[in-house]
Amino acid sequence: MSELEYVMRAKGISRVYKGEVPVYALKNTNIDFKKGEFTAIIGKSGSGKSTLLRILATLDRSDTGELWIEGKDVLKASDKELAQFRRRRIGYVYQDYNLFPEYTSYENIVFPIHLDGRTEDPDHIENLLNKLGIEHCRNKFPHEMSGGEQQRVSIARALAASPAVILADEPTGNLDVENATKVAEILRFCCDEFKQTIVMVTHDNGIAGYADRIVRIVDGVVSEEA
Amino acid sequence: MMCIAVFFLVFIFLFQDNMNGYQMAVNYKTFGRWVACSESDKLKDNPYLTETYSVTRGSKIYTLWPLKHEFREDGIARDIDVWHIKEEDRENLRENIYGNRSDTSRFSGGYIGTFSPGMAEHNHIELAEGRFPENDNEIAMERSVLDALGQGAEIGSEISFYIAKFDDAAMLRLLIKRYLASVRGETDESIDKSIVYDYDVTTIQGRNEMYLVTYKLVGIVERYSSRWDTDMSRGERGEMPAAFLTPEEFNRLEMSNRKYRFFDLKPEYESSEVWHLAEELMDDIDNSKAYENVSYALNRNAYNNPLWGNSEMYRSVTVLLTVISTCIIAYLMANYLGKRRRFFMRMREIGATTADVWKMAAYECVGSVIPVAALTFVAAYIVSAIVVFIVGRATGVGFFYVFSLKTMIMIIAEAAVTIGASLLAALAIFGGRSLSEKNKALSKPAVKRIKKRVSFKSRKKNAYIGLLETLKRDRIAYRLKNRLLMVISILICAIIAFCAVKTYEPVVNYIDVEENYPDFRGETLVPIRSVDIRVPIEPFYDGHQMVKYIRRRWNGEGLANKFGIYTNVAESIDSMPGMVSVDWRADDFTHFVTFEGKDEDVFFGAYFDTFLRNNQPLHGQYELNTTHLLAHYFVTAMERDLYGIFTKRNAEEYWERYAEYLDAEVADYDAFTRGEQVIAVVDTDMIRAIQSRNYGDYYGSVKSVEGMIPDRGTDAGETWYGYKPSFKAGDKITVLCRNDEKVEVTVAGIVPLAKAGLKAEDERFLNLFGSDGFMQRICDADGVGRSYNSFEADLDVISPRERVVNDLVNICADSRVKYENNVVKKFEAREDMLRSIITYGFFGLILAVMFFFVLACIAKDEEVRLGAKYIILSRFGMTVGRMKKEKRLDAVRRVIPLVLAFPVQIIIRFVSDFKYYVDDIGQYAASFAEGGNSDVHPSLYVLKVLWGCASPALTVTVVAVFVVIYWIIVSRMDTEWIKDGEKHHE
Repeated sequence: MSELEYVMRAKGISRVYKGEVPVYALKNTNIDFKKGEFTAIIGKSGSGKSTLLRILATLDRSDTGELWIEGKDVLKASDKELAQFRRRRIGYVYQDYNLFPEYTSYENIVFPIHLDGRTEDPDHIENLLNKLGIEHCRNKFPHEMSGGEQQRVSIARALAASPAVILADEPTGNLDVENATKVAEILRFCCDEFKQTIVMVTHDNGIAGYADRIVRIVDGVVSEEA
Repeated sequence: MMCIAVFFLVFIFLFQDNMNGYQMAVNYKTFGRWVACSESDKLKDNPYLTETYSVTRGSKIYTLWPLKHEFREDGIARDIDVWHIKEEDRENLRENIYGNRSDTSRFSGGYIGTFSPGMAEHNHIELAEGRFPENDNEIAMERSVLDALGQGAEIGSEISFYIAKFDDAAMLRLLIKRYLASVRGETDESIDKSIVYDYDVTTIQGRNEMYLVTYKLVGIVERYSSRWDTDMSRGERGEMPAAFLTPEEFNRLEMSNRKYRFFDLKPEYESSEVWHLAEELMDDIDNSKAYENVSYALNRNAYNNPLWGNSEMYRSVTVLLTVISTCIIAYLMANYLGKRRRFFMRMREIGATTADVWKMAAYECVGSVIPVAALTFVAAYIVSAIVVFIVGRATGVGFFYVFSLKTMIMIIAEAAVTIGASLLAALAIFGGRSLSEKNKALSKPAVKRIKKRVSFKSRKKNAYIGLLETLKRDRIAYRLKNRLLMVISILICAIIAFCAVKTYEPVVNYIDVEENYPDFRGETLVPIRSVDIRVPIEPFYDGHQMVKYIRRRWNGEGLANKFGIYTNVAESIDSMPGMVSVDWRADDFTHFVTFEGKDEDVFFGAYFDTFLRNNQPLHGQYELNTTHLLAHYFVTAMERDLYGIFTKRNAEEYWERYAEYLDAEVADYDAFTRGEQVIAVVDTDMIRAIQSRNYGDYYGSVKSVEGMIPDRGTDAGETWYGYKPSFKAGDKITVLCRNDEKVEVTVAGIVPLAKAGLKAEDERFLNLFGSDGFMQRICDADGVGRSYNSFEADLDVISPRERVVNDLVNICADSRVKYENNVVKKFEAREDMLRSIITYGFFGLILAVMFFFVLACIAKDEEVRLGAKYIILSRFGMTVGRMKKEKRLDAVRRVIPLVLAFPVQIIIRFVSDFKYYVDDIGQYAASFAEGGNSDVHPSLYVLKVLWGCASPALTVTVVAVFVVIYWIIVSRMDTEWIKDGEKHHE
């Protein structure tokens, strides 16, 4: 497969948290993500999966290695370039949604676009709302919606800017089984419908099953691919 | 934070209470503690008053002063007669009463008296030295009276003076008049000369109106009698004694006396707000018909000047501080409990009931917050007690109190109510709500408003949502808290601005008084601007003849330099101990001047031609006033201006002041000192205006004289000539003196009037500045002794100023010199300044420091809360720089409302001096209604008053500084914390 088919490539990524006892969160990790692929990263608590996701999201810097996103070595970019990169090329879905309580759903969804100084395409946003089944939540505030609806709004927010990759950190962690399943289905749908590259961190094997590929992390090492 | 807030509350309350106590203590020390004073005992019927002490005042204290009939060479007599007897009557008195001795009594300025036990201590009649008399041969006296007696002021020395059986000045004057009428033969009444005066000490005891007494001086009393406001309601002044005897000795003396009773508030009405009650009581007494026929004095000075100006203002500020501190503590409590909400929600999840949660929250507050608050209370109390103790010792005012039960109860109660109310409010937030509701920050009305705006915005193509909007919406969620904080901030800013104004004005006044007022100023009484030249009707054919007469035959009665303070007096003043500097000055505008050697005949002839044409003789003579004459009949403005002479002993001051205008080639300081050069001040604007007009038409039909040029116009066929105006450094000025004498000087430099910095009264007349040497030359030419018109003296701060001033007063009285004593004024200005710094200045500073500290803690707190949001925004790709910029912009939006402190300060100031402003506006409105000269409608005048009481420049400055500091605090952002925030957040 050519380089162009890889959205993200991480080589030799290591991360150590220094302290009285250094913690090796990641050890010489190599992992690639193809375009339009849905990847699930599973592991126990403390295995390093969230650390890996944060490094992939450029929220944290690795101590060693390289990280290429759409052919660009992001580890050499400045903070300003990384911020721009996060605005335009990465969508993030949080476990606890992280919606702004004083914004409606629509405003939460378009916020990253406006932050980038651009204007949203209303048709695109409406399409997202419809596809994710949250058109009725358009003018609702977060506290007026259920957890599942909030997470779907969060996913819509991540999709709104048409990023290169969506990174989801335990997106079903705060949801009940029914809603968790719905969210997983939606992510699957996004991948199929929008050809969106998705990387999801989860500890739930059932949710991981919706992915095209499952990667396991054990003690900071990508140990096997299933 | 709680510690800070409680400390703030306690310290501010105690400090304010003690500062008010300090203010009142100063008032009591200066004006006494009494509320009312009267000879009548009718006031004791008032239910709030009780008669406390009394003072009995006896005779005036007299000294004998030699009456000198020395005549100066120039025929001016000196007299020191208290009753201003005419010269011919003085002669009669001298011949018929005194024989070889000429003595007259002189009032020392004080009365003798005694007081009831306790009066001195209670009303702060204090001693500078020694003690009050305990034996009948002892006396304590104010220093001013001692100085007037001129017998020394050592404790233990013997003091003698005269007292009169009847010392009513009107009666003595009547006796004098009757005596003089008798001597002149205008009446048949025979008046015994010995009744009027007594001059032989040994024959007077027990027989005559005045008699000598002698006591041992045991105490010197601090000045009080002239400070107390004892002006009675029915017009007279209740003079307090300046010297005290024992009651027994006082009663033994044969003299008229008056007993003044003093009334205080009854003990049950004494409270920390005694001034408020006293003020109301005084108003009631003034308005009551029961006291219409009673003569009384009310001690408003002591009670009408509490902290903050008046009682309403004091109460309002107290309430305001209570509200502010309540809000701060409530904010902190709500904030604290809000952070604990998640914990209490977890408690509910594991099975706690609502009541359990309430108990836990209450226990946390009681168990943790209140002990902290209590400890802080004690600490704050100790700190404030130390501060007021130090202030009390430093100022010598014994107001300091350690324990006031009422204030303590008030503070504790206020804090308890605040904590309780805050607790209830905070508990109400999360008491019985559903656990699934995560964020109830928005109220329903707020949601409605946002939805309306959202639906409007969604119609817009470019609905931008940025950090600013986020922050704004975020503040909507905490609207009440933020509004509260803003209201508190505005009020505190206004109070600080008010304190700044109240501190600034006395400081500026003190600086102004120190710079512009000498300690003592004396000025000759002789009016030197009145008619001073009398020219008898002679067959003057024209103005030239008149000129000749004036120059050669005028005796110079109107010469100003004949009526000054002579050098021997000046030397005695110069050499007085305690004198730091004396600046002597001589003014003269009774001399004509010419310039550039122009023919005076020509120069003045035409003037007098015009004068004769336009004036008629009066009482057989022409009366000329040089000032008037010169103002109207000179040719050009230059010449018009060149007639005032002003010399100072310290001429160096003017030489330096006008240095930039001195001609480098001409000016010579030594020549200036010798009186050979002068500095001219000329109104250049007027000259320019005059130059554009005809300049020669006053010269009349004079044949052409060298240097003159024809004028542009003609009059009745005659050609008029004039000089082209020119005046420059190096020109010669000639002062025309008596008997054809002249004094010629060179102009060293010309100063434009606008740059001269003269006082308004000097601008019109004085513009030839010369040294002492110059005036000496003029006096020598006139053949008169050297003298000065005025002097300004600065005294040594260490010397006993009152004694020095009394000596100066006596010298001025002897020399017929009008004087102005500013020592008291300066002292009071200084005291006022110190008092305002200690009260308002210190209070405002403490308030500012405490407030900004609390604000910084709140801002830090908010930063933690907002930090989580910033992390999310960072994840979305917002740069730190952008976040900082938006935060600063948001801080600008938050501080802008603080400008409202400006109008709030106006309101505070207006209320503080309410009576004064209302009186001022009322008087203006009345004058306007009566058709006075005012053009401004009273409604606009009100705006002018409001603007004036705002002290705009200072208030704007204070508000601006406050806003800047506020902005710095709220816009502070720790970028490092943001970068590491991921770890903190998770």
